[in-house]
Amino acid sequence: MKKLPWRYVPWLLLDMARGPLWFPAAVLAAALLLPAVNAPAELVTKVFPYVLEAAGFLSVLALTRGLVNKDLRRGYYRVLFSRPVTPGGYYLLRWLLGGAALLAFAALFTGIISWKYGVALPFPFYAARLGLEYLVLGGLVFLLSTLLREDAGPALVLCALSAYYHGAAYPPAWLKAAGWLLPPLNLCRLTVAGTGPLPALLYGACAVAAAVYVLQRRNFAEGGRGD
Amino acid sequence: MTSKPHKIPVAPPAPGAACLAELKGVCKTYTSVLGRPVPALADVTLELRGGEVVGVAGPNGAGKSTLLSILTGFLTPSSGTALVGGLPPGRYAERSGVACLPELVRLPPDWTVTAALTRLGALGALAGPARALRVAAALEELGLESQASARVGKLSKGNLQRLGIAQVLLSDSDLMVFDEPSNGLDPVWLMRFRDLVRRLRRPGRLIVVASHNLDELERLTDRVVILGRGRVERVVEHSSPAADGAPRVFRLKLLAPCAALAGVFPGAAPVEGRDNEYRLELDAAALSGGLLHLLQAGAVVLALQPEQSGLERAFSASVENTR
Repeated sequence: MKKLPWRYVPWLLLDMARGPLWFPAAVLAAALLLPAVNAPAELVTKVFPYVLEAAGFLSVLALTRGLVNKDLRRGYYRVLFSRPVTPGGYYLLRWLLGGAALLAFAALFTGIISWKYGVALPFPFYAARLGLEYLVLGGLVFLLSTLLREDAGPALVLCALSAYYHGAAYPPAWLKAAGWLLPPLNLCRLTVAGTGPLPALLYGACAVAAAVYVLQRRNFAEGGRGD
Repeated sequence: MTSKPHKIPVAPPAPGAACLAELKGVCKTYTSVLGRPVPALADVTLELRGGEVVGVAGPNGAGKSTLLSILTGFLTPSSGTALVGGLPPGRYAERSGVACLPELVRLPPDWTVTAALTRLGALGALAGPARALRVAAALEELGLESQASARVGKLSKGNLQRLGIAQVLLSDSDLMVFDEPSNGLDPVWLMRFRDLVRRLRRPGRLIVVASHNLDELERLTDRVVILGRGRVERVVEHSSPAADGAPRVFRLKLLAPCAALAGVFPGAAPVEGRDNEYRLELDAAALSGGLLHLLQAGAVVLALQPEQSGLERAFSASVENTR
């Protein structure tokens, strides 16, 4: 953790506020400003996890998409990484801040709904599941962002395959063989009691570690004017 | 060239300093879209010392940017060894940073000039008050005070280049790399840039400048590495006395015809279409002695200038070799 450029956190937060935080911020604004619907507390308690789950999923994508490849495509890396900073540390810190922003969003969203509808919502459970989702999906997008020019699209395809794989009684053999590559988002759901989170923890940790490893090894430039 | 107070630490050059960057048999091969190998650098071996300013020249596609990318750690060689300060360049950059002006200065367009410098200073581990001072000094040095709150995306090409140079000044690294620094600079800023490089020179610091502008390289550097098709064709030590004494072609312009000219400079050839202008090919000693005789014979010299610098000749010869 010593290698992370903590001194740069204020500017990373500023970048986040100007960019990928727009979606969670819009959800919070809507929750705060839209008038409360007339609904019994039981219904709110039942429906809210679905809303938070969907908003959380989209927020993870918004917070992590283009994390690395955008800087590479636009050539910003030359001025950023001529400073005494490791690319792996720099992007890991950005990724971690995204996770913190997601949890802050979840806390505020849950708080606003609890206050508006006067219901008690189990935030620690939501936070644990959303954190796990950020590790799994956010880690996958982070890794794809170090390898590909487009990350969110391929991640969505893998998520769709994962949903099919975990929902199908008899998934095709090729999908079974590739099952370990698919993000175990079924373990991160707020609306379904999942089994133990260990596979998801492992999957996410491996994706993040692989992303940092790739960043420390890859060539940033392509030579000539190509980059 | 300017009388402005120096904002950047000044120190004299250190001839004979230790090697800072070392390339041994460095090759870099890219792979084309069709999977074919495209060699960019082939067997490049160089020793670059701290305290010197080294130029890198070569025609388009000669491998200049690839060489600079390897030195700054953005590319790893396909084979061979590259070391900066005894470390692989990437590790060196992570530890000490590299003051680097890329060929194309790219920064997020919504950053302001001051914000860009402040951020890069922070990323470069400059602490609060020191950072503010360095940013202010860099803005003043590059004449960007009036653009301080302008967005990067709204800057002209010249101002963007000056911002690129300003961010270099935030670094104290012993390795400074300028890729095509004269891009977009007007003559005034070209001269200021030359002055700046002279002041940035210090013992232990290696400054590498890649440019297509040979005149620029001759003025700025101690020696120039000429690349051709990825190979080191020649290293021209144009600042050494031996290089200055080598035969060169000069143009001599007299006020009026001088009968003694043919005797003093037997090889003098009149320049077609120019009155009283002659081409001479000789070394510095013969030129000095001849000029003395010519002046004693009553000739009035209006101008004397080299037709082609030693670097230009070496470059032309190297490029011809690679064709």
